[in-house]
Amino acid sequence: MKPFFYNLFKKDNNKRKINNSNKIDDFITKNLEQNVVKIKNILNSSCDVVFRKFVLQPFNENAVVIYIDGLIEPRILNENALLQLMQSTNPDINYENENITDYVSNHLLTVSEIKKINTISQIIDAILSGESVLLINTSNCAFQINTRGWKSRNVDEPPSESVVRGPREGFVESIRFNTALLRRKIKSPNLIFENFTVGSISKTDVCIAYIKDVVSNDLVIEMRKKIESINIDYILESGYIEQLLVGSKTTILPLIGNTEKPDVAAAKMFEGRIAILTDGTPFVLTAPHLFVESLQSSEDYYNKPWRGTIIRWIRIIALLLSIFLPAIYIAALTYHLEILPTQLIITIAASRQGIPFKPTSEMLLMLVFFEVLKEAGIRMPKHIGMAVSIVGGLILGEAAVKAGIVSNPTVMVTALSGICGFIVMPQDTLVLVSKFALAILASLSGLFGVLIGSIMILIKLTSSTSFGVPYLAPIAPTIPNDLKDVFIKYPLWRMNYKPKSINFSKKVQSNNQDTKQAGDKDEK
Amino acid sequence: MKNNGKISMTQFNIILIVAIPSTSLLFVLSDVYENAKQDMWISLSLVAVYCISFSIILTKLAKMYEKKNLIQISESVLGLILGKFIGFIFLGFFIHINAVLIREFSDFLNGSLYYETPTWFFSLFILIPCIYILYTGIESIARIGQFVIGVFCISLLFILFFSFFDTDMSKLTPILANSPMSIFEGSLRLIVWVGEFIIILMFACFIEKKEKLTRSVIFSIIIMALLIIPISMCLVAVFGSTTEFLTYPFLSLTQYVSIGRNIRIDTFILIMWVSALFFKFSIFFYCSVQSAASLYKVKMKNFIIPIGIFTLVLSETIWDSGIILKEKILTQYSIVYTIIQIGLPIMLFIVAKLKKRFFKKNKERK
Repeated sequence: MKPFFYNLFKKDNNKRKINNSNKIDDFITKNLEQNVVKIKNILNSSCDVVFRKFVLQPFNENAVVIYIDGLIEPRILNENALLQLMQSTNPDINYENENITDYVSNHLLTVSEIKKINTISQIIDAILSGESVLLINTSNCAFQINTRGWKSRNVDEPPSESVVRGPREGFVESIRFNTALLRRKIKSPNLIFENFTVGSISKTDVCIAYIKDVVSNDLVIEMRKKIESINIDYILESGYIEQLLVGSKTTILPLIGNTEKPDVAAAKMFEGRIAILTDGTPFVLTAPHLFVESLQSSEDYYNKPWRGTIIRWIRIIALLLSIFLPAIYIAALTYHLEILPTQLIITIAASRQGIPFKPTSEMLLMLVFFEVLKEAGIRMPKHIGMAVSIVGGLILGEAAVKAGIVSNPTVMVTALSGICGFIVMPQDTLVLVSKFALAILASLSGLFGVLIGSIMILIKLTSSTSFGVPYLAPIAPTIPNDLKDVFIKYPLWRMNYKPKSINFSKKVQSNNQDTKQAGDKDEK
Repeated sequence: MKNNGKISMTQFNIILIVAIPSTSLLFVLSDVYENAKQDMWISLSLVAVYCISFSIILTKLAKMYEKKNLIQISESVLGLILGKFIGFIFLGFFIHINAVLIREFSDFLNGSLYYETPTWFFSLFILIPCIYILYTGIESIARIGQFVIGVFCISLLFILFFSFFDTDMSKLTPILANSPMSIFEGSLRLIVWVGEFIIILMFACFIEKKEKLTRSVIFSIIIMALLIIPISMCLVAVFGSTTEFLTYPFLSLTQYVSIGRNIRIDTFILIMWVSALFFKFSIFFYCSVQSAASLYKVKMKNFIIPIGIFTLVLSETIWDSGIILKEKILTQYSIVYTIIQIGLPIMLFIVAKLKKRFFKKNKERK
């Protein structure tokens, strides 16, 4: 039995890696046929790879263009490469003095971005990332021609973060487009994008973006090191990177934030954070991410500070209600009837007349029911989702109360706590886990259990760090300057500074006058 | 802003303000009333004076050895063997006071709100977050303190405010009707509370900037006095001579008070005490684990669970009931505790001073 259990709990490091062989480091030979056969072998003669053979004019040499159908823009390849290569009869230029490759790059290819490459592996990488490769007989180097252009979704309003006031554009799945969106927000030479390739098979482009001089150097170095050390076969979404950056710790807190909106990402970068863009997903990560950020929204800054302050308090109350309300309801009905006013006890007792379950099991039943409805509503297509919410929420709830399975106050408490949970979406995991845990603790030992549970949650919150920054940073440990943006939203003219909690490097704080002003201007 | 194993002076003050008066507020006030009667508040102000004078000695000792805790100080003052011996006495004291705290806590819950739940249940459940917080380190404890002091002070002020309508100030008169001796005796009942300031020596080595250590400790003692003296006056003004017979006078006060006509707040005292006593216990638990770690010169993590379980077993086995525990605290333990908590640090201070002077003279001669 021992090996079985051992294998069950053993850390499996091989899970994330399938294979890492297939190293190809051959140089290109002068024989075209040989090269083509090699490439065909490596690409396993996939049907979407196109080999276009033609005769290169005016040298009369055989040549091949290789690309993947669907990843390139055919118009560029046709008009700017193939047309020039096959019909070039410009009599003015004397081609005999020039090397064949120089002639092709200087006079024939009318594409803005081309690159000479020498090895087969470079050719493979170029082809797979959507570029075309030109191979010429008698020449031992190839051309990588940027003809990338695949169909991509249009920029539209992100469904997860809709706003009343503020820009409606959202990131898309293409990483170049996303960097362009950020560049349009921050027109500063200090905005820096650093490219990484993550995933040994998927070779996904990952890009970290930061504003030099605003961000702390230590943070950038740590981030580079962490991204380079990621060892995984494939990346499909930025969520993979999020989990790997946080490390092996099992945490229920969002220690790295995500956003779909360029303005939010830009604002975080102005505050000294790093944005991580991943190819293939509109979700951009921001790090370090603190607890207070889940109480903030971009609209707090676009509207007047009064509104921001009140809405922020409403968010705090909603977060507390969604976590504690079911637990306190159970505790009050099971152990501490005295904390309720007498009138309320009588009303609740009247509505619980004939209910077969105890408050605990009734509440847990309803909580599970609510989560099922929520999940169904999200996963269903939009139109069916509406039907689910109407049938599930209204009809089933009403019928359950009328049939005497659950009582009215329980339904109300569940619904209220569920709706409050939607207000602070970034903390949904914390809310979900602690809601159930506290409900069970409350049924075990009333308010005492709730208190012990909430102390545990508080310890988790205070002890977590995101890239070295304490998770509850401006609150505990208290940083008075940063509290201007937490419980009371100060007007913008009182907030022309970067949060001190993010920049833990002393060096950087002193030499950022210029960028600070630039940032202020942009914010306004 | 990076974790570096240090706490700020404000966080240190918070540790003192929450950790020290919480138990005395709950348990000992009726005994003070037994001696001092309506002049209880004078006794309490006397206690504050003791605290200030004792903590001045402690802070001076802490400033002499800036990077050392109590155990390491006693080792470097008294030499290795005697220092280790004193260190083991302190370790035993911390573990014992842990057991006392846990037992007091679970007896309070068992005797006031949950009559049928056994005491070990509460002891175990308060121990789990304490063990967890010790694994997360000193900064996390200090940050938790910032939340606990909020809950503690707000609920104290809340209860004070609402009990104000039931007070009868004439019960506080005549002032000084009894002999001054009785006031002094009343103040001696809280001597254990004075001795708890020994935790200054365990936590002072973590403070980032400790130039104003003495001043801030005195400041925090004044805040404690400002919290406790109004509460004691309020107790006397509400209950009068009945205060003497109440087991948990503060709990009785909250049970007596109600908001409007039908909202009772006595359950909310649970929130206040569970959080405050959790904090107090984790502070003393930290002290015991840290002293064990510095005695054996190993990492703290090795001692957290063994000492935790040992404390739990002790707290369940030593005393038969809460009443015996209270009786022992007021008689036997107060003498032993006074010697360990107050006598030994003063002795350390005197020896350290003499040593310093002696060595100075030696140096001058050379």
